[in-house]
Amino acid sequence: MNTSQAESTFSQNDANILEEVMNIAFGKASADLARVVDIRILLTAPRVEFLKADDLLQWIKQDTKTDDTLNMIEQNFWGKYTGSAFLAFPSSASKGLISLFDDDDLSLGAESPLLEKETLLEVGNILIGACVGKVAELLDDNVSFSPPRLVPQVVIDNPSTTAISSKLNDPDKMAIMIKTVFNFEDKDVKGFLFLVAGEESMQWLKAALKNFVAKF
Amino acid sequence: MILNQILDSIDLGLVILDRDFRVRYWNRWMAVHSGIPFKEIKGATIFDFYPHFRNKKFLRNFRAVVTFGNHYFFPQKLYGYIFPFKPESNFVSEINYMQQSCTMGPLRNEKKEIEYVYISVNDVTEAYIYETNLASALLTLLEKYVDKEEIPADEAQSILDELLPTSSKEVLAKHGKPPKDKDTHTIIGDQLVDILSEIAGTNR
Amino acid sequence: MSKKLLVVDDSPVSRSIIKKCLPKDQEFELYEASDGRQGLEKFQEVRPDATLLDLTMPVMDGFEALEEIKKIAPDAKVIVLTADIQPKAYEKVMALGAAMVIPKPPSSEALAEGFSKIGLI
Repeated sequence: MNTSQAESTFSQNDANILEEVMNIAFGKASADLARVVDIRILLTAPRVEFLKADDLLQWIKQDTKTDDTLNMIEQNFWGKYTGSAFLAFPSSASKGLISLFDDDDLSLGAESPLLEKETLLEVGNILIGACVGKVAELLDDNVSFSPPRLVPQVVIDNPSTTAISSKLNDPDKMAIMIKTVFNFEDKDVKGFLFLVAGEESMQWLKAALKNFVAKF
Repeated sequence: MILNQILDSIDLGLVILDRDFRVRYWNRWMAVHSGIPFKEIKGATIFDFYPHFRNKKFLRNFRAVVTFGNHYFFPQKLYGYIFPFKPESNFVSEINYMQQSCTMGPLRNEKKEIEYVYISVNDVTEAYIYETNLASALLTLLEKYVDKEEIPADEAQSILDELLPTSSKEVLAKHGKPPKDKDTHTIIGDQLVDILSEIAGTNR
Repeated sequence: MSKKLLVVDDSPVSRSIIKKCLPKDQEFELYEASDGRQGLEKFQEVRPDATLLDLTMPVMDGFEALEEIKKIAPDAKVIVLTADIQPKAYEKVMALGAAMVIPKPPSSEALAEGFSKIGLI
């Protein structure tokens, strides 16, 4: 399927509704994150794009260009709306993210690479879960998650040679991509959240968006 | 009926807690491995029987599950185990506790509100032992080559880094470090590194 | 007499949801803007009886727009509409002079109640 076909099945109006749903969902998510786990983030208005699954990683990399290397967490979710979430942030931000949690009951030293990795995954899991969960809630869906993973550095460094995911790596397939930038209020840390869904979810998504607007 | 039979027959631990941490379900697998029958733990809080769950990390992620519908994963590499059970096999001498990989997630009522939280417990002891043996064999082998000066030490380290990306960073450095007391039921243990160092130490 | 109402929100969907939720028994002279800067210009031009203002918008966000509107007309009635109701953001917009905050997505009841509280209807 080419770009114009994908867009004709998913109209500009659909994209506008999706952006507003994301806006509301992420707003609610950040309010809850502050209340429940004391993570204070500011999210920018989300943007919806269509692109070939194969170009995804390159696009993400280009869009998150910093002088720094990039860390990326990947997490798959599935419900009626099924896809992958990617949380990307500069490697130098890791320390700031890890200090979000002042756990007093850790037996590992603060410098342990295992603990550092697991703490990043925990932050990613909470942020992705909160954001995707709120979107699902607004669209009357329930989602499950697989465990978060750190995307290997070698994949991030060579985006053109690596297929992003076995589910999305059909080079001709289109992906709906939603991007938002978030800022951690007290940490001066900036990150990027991408939600990617394949064509399989399009029909359901279109219907769910229609239902959402019809509620008003 | 049939669902209950399944829940009691599967080779998987299953615990259901309400929002106040009270145990509402405890399948037969949990009863057998813990030695605590369902009727004894039913209605008690999980802290009454397992006080180590009362820690910031667990409470934070429990709140995330009931608020967002999040899932939380307790990886074996980080936790070792969350329920201190004996290993299944009688012939495992080097492991004191069953190694577990656990998941916590939401359960909703008809109104779609999150009413309960489930925790599933997977026994991954065998995979863990296999992985550890493999890693220690590799370490022993590499050390032999390093001792004979057939491989430079930094090259050996980079082979380890590549094969064991999470936990091998300080394996060679930690080489002579005395092993930690593995019986201590700490929530978090960098076990692979410790066991590797330990085995490497005894092989000298 | 119909009241002049200015809706400032970058999302056309959000503006249309707001329009659908307006009290049916009232007539409104409706003005729209899709970012804070445009909203400010529209405000100066039409001097609405009330303004519904989103917070996250491109060009000029809601916080800044609110501050500027209040500079032009200290007694302007501005209702902030946002999904993100963190206490800090709430305190900030109230300190800047917002009449109230209504969570997104709005309901007809919430808007009617808000309008009556600020004396618009």
